[in-house]
Amino acid sequence: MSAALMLRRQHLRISAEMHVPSESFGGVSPERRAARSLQSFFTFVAARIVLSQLEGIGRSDLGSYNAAASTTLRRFLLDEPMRDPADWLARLMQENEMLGARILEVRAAYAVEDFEWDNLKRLAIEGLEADNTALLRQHATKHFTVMMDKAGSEERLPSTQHYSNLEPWPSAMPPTAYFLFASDHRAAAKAELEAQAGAKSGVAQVAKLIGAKWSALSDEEKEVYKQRAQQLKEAAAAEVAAEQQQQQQQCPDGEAAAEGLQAAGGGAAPPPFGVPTGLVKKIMLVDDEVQRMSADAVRAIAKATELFVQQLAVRALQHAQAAKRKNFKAPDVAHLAGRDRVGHLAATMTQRMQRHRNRKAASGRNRRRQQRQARDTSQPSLTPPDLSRSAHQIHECNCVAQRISQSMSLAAGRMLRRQMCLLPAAALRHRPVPLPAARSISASAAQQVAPETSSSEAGDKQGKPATARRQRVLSGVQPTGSLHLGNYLGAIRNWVKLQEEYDTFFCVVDLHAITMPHEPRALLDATRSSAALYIACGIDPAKASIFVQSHVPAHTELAWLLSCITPIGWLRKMIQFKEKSKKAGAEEVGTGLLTYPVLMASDILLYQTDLVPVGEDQRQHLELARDVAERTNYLPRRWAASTRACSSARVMSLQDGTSKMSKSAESDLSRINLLDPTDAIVQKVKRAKTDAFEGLEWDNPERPEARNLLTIYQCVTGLSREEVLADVGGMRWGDFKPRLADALVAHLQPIQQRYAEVMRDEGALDAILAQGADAAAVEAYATLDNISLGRGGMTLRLRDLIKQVRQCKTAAEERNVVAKEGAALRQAFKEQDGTYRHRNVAKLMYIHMLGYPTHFGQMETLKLIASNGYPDKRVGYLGLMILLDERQEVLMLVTNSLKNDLNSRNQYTVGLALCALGNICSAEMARDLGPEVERLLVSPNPYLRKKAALCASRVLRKCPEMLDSFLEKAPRLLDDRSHSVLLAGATLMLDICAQEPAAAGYYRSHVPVLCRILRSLIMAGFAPDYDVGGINDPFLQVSLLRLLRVLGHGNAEASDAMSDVLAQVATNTDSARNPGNAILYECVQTIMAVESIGGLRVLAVNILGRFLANKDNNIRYVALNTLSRVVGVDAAAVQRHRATIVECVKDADISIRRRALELVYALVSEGNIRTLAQELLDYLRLCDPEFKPDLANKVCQLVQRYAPDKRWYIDSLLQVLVQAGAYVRDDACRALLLVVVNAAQLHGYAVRAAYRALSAGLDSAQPSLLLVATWCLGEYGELLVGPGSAQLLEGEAPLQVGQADVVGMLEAVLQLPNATVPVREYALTALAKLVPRLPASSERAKQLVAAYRHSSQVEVQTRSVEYSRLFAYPAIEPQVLEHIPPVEETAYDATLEPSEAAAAAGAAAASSASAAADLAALLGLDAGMAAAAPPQPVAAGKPAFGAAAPSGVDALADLLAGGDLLGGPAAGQPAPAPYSAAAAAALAPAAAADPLADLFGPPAPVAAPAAASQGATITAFAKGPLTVTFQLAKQPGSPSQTDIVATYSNSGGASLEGFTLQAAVPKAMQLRLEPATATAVPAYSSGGVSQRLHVTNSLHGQKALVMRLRISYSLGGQQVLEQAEVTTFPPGY
Amino acid sequence: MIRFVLLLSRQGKVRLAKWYTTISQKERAKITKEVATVVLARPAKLCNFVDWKDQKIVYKRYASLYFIAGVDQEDNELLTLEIIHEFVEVLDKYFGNVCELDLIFNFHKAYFILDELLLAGELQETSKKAVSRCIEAQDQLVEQVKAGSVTETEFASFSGPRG
Repeated sequence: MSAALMLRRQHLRISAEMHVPSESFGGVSPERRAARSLQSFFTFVAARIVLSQLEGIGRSDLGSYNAAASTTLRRFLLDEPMRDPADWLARLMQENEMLGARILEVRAAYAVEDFEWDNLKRLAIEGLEADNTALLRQHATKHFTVMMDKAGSEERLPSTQHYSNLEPWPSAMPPTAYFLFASDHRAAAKAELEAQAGAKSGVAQVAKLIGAKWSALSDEEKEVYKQRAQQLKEAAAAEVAAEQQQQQQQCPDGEAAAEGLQAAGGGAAPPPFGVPTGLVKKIMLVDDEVQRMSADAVRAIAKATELFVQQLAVRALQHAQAAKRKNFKAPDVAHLAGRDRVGHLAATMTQRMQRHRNRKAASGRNRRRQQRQARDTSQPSLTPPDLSRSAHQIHECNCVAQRISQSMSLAAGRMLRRQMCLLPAAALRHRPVPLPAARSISASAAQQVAPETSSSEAGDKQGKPATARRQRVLSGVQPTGSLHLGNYLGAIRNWVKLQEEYDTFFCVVDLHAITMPHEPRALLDATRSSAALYIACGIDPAKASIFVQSHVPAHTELAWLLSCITPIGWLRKMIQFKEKSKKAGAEEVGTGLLTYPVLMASDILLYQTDLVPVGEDQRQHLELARDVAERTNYLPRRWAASTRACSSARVMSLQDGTSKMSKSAESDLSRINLLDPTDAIVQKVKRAKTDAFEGLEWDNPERPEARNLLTIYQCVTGLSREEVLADVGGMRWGDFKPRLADALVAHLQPIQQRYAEVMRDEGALDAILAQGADAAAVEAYATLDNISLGRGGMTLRLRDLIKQVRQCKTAAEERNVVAKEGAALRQAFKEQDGTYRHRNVAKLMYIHMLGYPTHFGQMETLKLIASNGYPDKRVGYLGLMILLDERQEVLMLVTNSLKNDLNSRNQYTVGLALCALGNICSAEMARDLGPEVERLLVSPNPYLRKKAALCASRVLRKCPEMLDSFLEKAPRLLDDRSHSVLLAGATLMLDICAQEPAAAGYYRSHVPVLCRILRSLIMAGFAPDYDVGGINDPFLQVSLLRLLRVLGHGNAEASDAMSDVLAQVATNTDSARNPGNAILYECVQTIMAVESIGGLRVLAVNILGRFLANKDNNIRYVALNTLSRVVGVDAAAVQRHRATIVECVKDADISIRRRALELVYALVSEGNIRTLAQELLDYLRLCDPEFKPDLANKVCQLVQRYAPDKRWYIDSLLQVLVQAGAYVRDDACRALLLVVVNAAQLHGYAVRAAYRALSAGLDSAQPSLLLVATWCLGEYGELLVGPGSAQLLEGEAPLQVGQADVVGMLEAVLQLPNATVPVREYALTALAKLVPRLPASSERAKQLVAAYRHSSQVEVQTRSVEYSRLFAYPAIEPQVLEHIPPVEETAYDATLEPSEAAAAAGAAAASSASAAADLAALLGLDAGMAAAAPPQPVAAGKPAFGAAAPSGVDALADLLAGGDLLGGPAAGQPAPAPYSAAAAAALAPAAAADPLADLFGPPAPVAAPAAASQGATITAFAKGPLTVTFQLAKQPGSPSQTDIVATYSNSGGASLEGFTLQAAVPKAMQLRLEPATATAVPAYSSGGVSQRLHVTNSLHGQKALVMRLRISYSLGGQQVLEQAEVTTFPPGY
Repeated sequence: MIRFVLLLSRQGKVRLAKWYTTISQKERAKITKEVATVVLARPAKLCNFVDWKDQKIVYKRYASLYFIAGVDQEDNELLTLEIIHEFVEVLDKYFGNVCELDLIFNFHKAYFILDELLLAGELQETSKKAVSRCIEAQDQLVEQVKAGSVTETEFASFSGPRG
């Protein structure tokens, strides 16, 4: 157990617990030691409990009084000391066993159940803490009492009397490190401090400094000090000893207290000045009493330290001066110290703390320290009384320092708090604070200043600028050099006027001045003197804020923010930078010179300045400021946009009339400083540069100097130009100059006097500057606070977004950028800030263009549109058109805005609205806004008329019922003079005609007007505005031609009216360039479309011929395009260009090829088919794959249509199949087979051709070729090997094939890897067919067939099984497998259509759609062939089939479709059609997957649907000679589908020609019509013509079938149109 | 009428897309993609017209940009080419020797110009100078409003050159 316990203990010690040394507890753990004590305690308690029980006290119910036992126990307790409880109990038990046992029992019970362990812990801890507090308090009291006494005060703090009563420093006494401790006990403390110097770093520093000072002293001095120190030390030691003695006498328990101190302080009692702040704080936290005491202590320490450090600073300064350290600017420091007024500090600090605005306060380390101490002092709660009290203390402290300073050298004394401000910049940042006692220049100013301050503070507290404000002016002059006349006349004098109208801020831009090398002291002086000059020149501090730039730190703060977004390239472009950096040398120039325009921008933007009166040379910087503000989006646009420069008189150098008067010019003679004394002014004027001209004049460019001096004169005298000229114009230089000098002196003297006054009272000037800085700071910080950097408000500009996207290298990067921007945009939209909405929407458009979703911003476009400003509207409408389309419901919201804008007085706003309406309007909008468009159509403004006309086109398209309103207005546009309105009018008329063809008739009367316009266009000379490539407005011409085409179509009169002008256009238009060709193209189309005379047409066709011969592909394309339209009208004309067109089929350009092919197709006839087809076939081999489908099908169609003989037909189609089999449609293949079947004499030829085709390229053969070829091999394979094989046709190559080869070929087909299921089926069928005909290879064929019994392809497997089964019945085999008989082509065509359709219908029902379709394709052939087969005896089982299916043809289609075809065209034959067993074998699996054996059993189940589907017959229509009967049938399993066979009977004597039946059903039904069997119903016929209809009723059972019929036919040349409704469908349909 | 105008870069990136018929956004993206594959694949020497579905595409390449217009079957292709060219010339005049970058960074301006040239899929202005004048006047108006030299009341009665 103990081992485990030890382990745990060790573990605990290591991990977290406090290390407790165990050796002091007798080698065991303290807890064990305590437990042992507790054991004794428990035993003792138990004994006492038992004793009291035995005595019966309080427990009368439990035990009676047992005197004997109690006596024994009491005695035992008294006699036997309980050192070890175990031992004690053992002895008790020896004496009284029962008692011992009882105690054991009680002891256990008490320890486990009754003892309050938690209470013990709490009590112990409480006790400990109470002791601790008491000890600490004791210690602190004693300690600080001692210290206070040592500090030289008889009174205890917080009395402040002590400091003010401090005796003045004896001026005679030499400064010494010990000066602080004037009285002896102070000296003692100091000595002790020195003793401790090594231990505390702060003190060490002190000691070091003192050491440095010490070493600087002379030997005699040192000796004096040493002696004095010795004396002090001895005295102190004696005193301390006496004190200790006294203390020990005073408190008897001193030793214990000393111990307590030792525990708390961790060593000997700390010396008075060595108390570390940390410890003091710790003590302070303990309780209130200590807090109060230690607060006093800290103040005392602070005070002492203050004095001490100040003294050290003086030493440091002296030391530095002696050492002349390079970077130490003594004058700066001295100057600053001079400005710094004692007592400011306390007031400032109180103010600042009350404001809670610690904006990097310009303060030395000393001040900060005091602040901290003051804060420490007032802990834990900071209350104003505390603050003011501490401030007051510090103020007093300053008073002390002041008195010290008086007794020292002036510079050093003023340096007091400035020892850290050694850098000029830091020095500059300090700004004076108004003294309560400060006097101002004028009484009025002083009165004005005070309320301003309070109001600014009020604004500051609210944290926002006043809402309504005057426009603002900001200006400033650098304090480099002294201000001169140029500054005065150009700027400052101007400001005096401005201060009346504006809120003005005039600053001395000292931060700008330090960008160039400068002398700090001179700079500071210049700053003050500049400010003083401002005032002297007439700027009223009561009206304007005059301040020093560096006193408002916000300038540099904003400058940094702005510099982060200013491209360095912009700054490098600044002319001033270029010039100055060139002057200074590129390497030496400071960064400030480069970034100084940014600082200027921040000056301007900080005060939301509206007007910046600066000179021309600063214009570029102003532009930069504007650009910078544009780049930020945290500055409202307005500020930058409205910032502009203004400047008044420009005063030039006296030495050079072309360059401006400059402070930096080398020669002082070039300028007149405002502070120049009178004789200097006279001297400078006298020496000013002049010229040799007579008299004086203003505007002679050769006399800039004259102009300059006159300007100066004018300015200082205040006369007008004319007056000046009248006054001095006639003078010579010699006369004028003294006069000018006098005027100048007269003007400047008052200024100089005022300046002197201002400078005399420094305090007042400081006060003014401080007030100005305060006022400026309020504004500046309001702006800075507005900057939303922290709120993430910085979004990109559009340009930057585009740049970012363009820099993306991968799509993922781009997505990231867009996603980020999208999020920012959403945020911006959420915030509802309108300032950058236009930019955001533009970004949205960009993102949209990249293909990302932008729906979230749609509402923003609407907001932009609803805004008032044109720029916003412009972007808004663009966004609307790009981001939205008419389907979006949001669009409805814009209707009202559109209406407003359509009524705007600004034409461009109306234009925007019209444009938007024209591009995206919906039907509703068209209806709502149509009237507005109609109104604008007759607007006096052509800009709006043209837009309205085009807009009307769109409105019409969306809302045709508006037609009437536009119909009449459109032609009025043709009277316009403006081309664009004419064009729009023509376009509108065209649209109206397209919408309502009848309108063409209405517009025909305008043909002469159109012709006149067109003619004037052709005849007019060069029109620069409308000329395109030498043609006068081709756009309008084309539009007019097109309108003429529409109007002239089908109307001879109109066509005649326009024929002249058409001829003119056709002959006069220059076809050298594209615009001319465009017109000719349109003209030709018009000529061909209208009823023009022959001559004109010839002209047109000739133009086309020229086009066709053109080398330009575009022209050839349009020529072909036109020809294909013309070919229907005038084929002969096109025929002439046949060769060219055929060449075009082979063009490299697919657009041209397609057009040409269409033309060729149109041009082919029986006469030219051989040559044309051969050309096409040759080309088919070469052309690129994308063109093959077109070409192949076209060739097939041509061959089918125009084939001169069947052999050529077979050859050509096989060739197509070989070249482009994949693209040939199935019906072409079927047609080919039909031809082969029917041409008995070509069977052999066909099979040979097929065999050749297969053997030539079996591997590359397409399925269609394989199908055709295998079919041929199967049908006529024996002709390849039999005697027939020798009968070659003319020109045919001989072919040697054996029976095995034929079967081998089929085997190869079967095994082709790319053979499709139908191909395999065909091959198997072919093999089966060849079995009886090729006896030599029949076994092989059978094996091959049987080999596919296990094919994974179901259909192939089925085929294999069926045929294998068939071979088992040799009796029927020959009949089943005999040749297909010839088929009648028309009958084939007729049956092909329905069976195909039926197959399609069946596909939907069949479980395996593709299989059924394939089968249908296969059976389609067989069906057609079977239908025409002559009656033949059929083997056993035939009657069953015959009964089930009256017609072979129908049965096939029927079974496939699962529907009923009874009464169809073939059903008319009453006799049961012969039935091919092969067909039956093929169809059986499709209907029912029974084994073949079932076929020969009792009537097969396949017959059932046919029988069941015999449905009702109704008469749908009977009128006149025509009767239509419907035979209805339902498919089993799909009750919703009804198949109808409509039969047409004609009871009249004349046939009904051109018969068509159209039918319509309600929406819930679907109708499919098949073509009728004939288009004419012969006379006296009944059921001769029929048509199939298939209706699917999706609401079967709910809604009965209803049908509306529309029947048209011509009876005896007269058109008859009938309509009827069929509602007599029997129930269930 | 012109059904859409597309400006595509050689890489098929959309620089401008304007649709004059009602086509859903999804469909627009699909058409853009398909048209891009058709047009960008065509060698330079072929004619500028392609039959595409139920419409014709008329396109012309200017430097690295394809200007593409989808027009109705019966439209005059040669004239459409001329419209495209007019658009290019106005752009060229506006930007001063226009290049693709101009259009990338000022796509909205290209749209503004197009809107002055075409409306509802039809040509609205046959004079290049007139288009330039209108755009210039509108730009000026924007500048003036921004600079605040045209106040709201002045703005309302503002009227630029007519026609």
